[in-house]
Amino acid sequence: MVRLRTFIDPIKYGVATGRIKVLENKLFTRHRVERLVEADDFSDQLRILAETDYGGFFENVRTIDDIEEALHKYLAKVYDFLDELTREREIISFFRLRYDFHNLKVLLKTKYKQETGEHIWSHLGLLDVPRARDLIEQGMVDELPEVYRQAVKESMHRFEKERDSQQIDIVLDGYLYKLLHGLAVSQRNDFLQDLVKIFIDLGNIKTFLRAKNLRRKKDFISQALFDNGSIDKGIFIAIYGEPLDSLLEQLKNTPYAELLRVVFREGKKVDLSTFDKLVDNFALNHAKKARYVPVGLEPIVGYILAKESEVNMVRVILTGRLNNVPKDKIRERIRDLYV
Amino acid sequence: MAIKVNPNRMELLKLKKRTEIAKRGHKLLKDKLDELMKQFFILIRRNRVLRQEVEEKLIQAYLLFALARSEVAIEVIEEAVLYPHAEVSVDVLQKTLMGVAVPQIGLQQKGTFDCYGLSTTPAILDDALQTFNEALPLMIQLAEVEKAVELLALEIEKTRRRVNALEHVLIPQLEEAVRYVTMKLDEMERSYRTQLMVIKEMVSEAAI
Repeated sequence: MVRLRTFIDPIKYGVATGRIKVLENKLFTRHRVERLVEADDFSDQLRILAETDYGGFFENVRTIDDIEEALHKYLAKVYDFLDELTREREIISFFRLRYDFHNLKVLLKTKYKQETGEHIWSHLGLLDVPRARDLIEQGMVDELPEVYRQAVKESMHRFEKERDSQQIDIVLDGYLYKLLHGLAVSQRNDFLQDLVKIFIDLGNIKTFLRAKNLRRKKDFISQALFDNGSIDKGIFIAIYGEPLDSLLEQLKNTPYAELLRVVFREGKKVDLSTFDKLVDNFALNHAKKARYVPVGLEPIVGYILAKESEVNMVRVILTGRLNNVPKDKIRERIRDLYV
Repeated sequence: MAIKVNPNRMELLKLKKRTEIAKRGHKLLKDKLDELMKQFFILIRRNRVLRQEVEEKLIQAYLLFALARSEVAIEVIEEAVLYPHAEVSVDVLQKTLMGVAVPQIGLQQKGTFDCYGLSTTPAILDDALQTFNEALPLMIQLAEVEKAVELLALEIEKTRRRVNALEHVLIPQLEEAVRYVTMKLDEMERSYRTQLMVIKEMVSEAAI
């Protein structure tokens, strides 16, 4: 397999990897991030952004809604670029599926709540949202594209049985990660498979800790955890009733031990205020390995992940400033950089 | 003198009785006013503590929410809270505080506030919503106390106006009227006596 890759990858990804390597140099540096955080006011931040390829999207940005819109358009450009780099639907889906599932959640919840939710549709996915809305509203779920069909059916069934909107999120998130895992497996790419495993593990750890903080019952956690992680979900379920230390004990020989040590503080309650950052850093640090692959799918995936993380960082810094969040709080939440 | 009275004994008795009642009413109202003030200050102090607590909680909650909403695209947060399963209802009863009807607001909450997937939303959203959840009962309490303060303040103003009206208008006027009638009666008595003395003298002169 490895030998085969040596021949196929340069043909398939040669040009794309070349372009990515150039673009990697344009990713935000620590210096630029620091300037953005330290900028005197919002207009100063916009001036700094104008020096980058964000500039064109941020010309008339005044409010938080404008920031969201600009970042949305910017991400759309990033994904369009990905479409241009690779024609493989699996890779494109790998990044865009999550927006489809977001839209499905919105469609199902608005259906049951009898509201309109067009303003919170995401336009970064692959699903034809207005058509999907019509199909879901009319109960013609079988007409939906096959990838989503089973997920939608099951979440509708679960909601109608339990009348609990959280079940929609739980079922759809489960299907999303199952699909991502399937995509990674179909690519036969170790990097991608490891990445999905990391996403799943981190998702499970996050669910476990948050459910514990929220004092949810064991039944909840056994529904909400994902399959296919490197840590079996049975382990999480088994130790759910035990003190938190047992999670650390169970995971002490895994790469997540360090991450857990940071969030575990004295006392019973876990401080999750910067947990999102730690989780993102963990995934990004894994993705960084892709930079050392000379040619192949890895640098492309790594770059897109880096871009997503960068967009998030710009959002944290800019909306934080407009919401008068203190600089140290913003700095606390800034992720590691890809380069 | 604002009170017009006929200067006779009957009126004097009536006036004296009214003065006495006015004075007793004044004392009672003054006691009520003192107690109202005492209650008012207790409520004001509670109000101040509660307001500070609510404001601190809300500042904290909004900061946490600002952080949570900056972590992911806004549509993710909006989707997360699109279909909440926590239900909150408020019922307003009345209780009497020093004769003033003040509201008593009860808060019933059903279900938990986390109605979203825990793996795809930011963890800090839990903290933000938890803080809002803690702020809500405090806000209800604050509303209750603030309304009570407002109603009590109105009652105090009304009572004070009554006390002042009694103390500075009605009682002085009644006393003035009593004085006037007494003087008039005395005057009349003196005049009768003089008349009597003159008649007596005239009679005795005629006898001589």
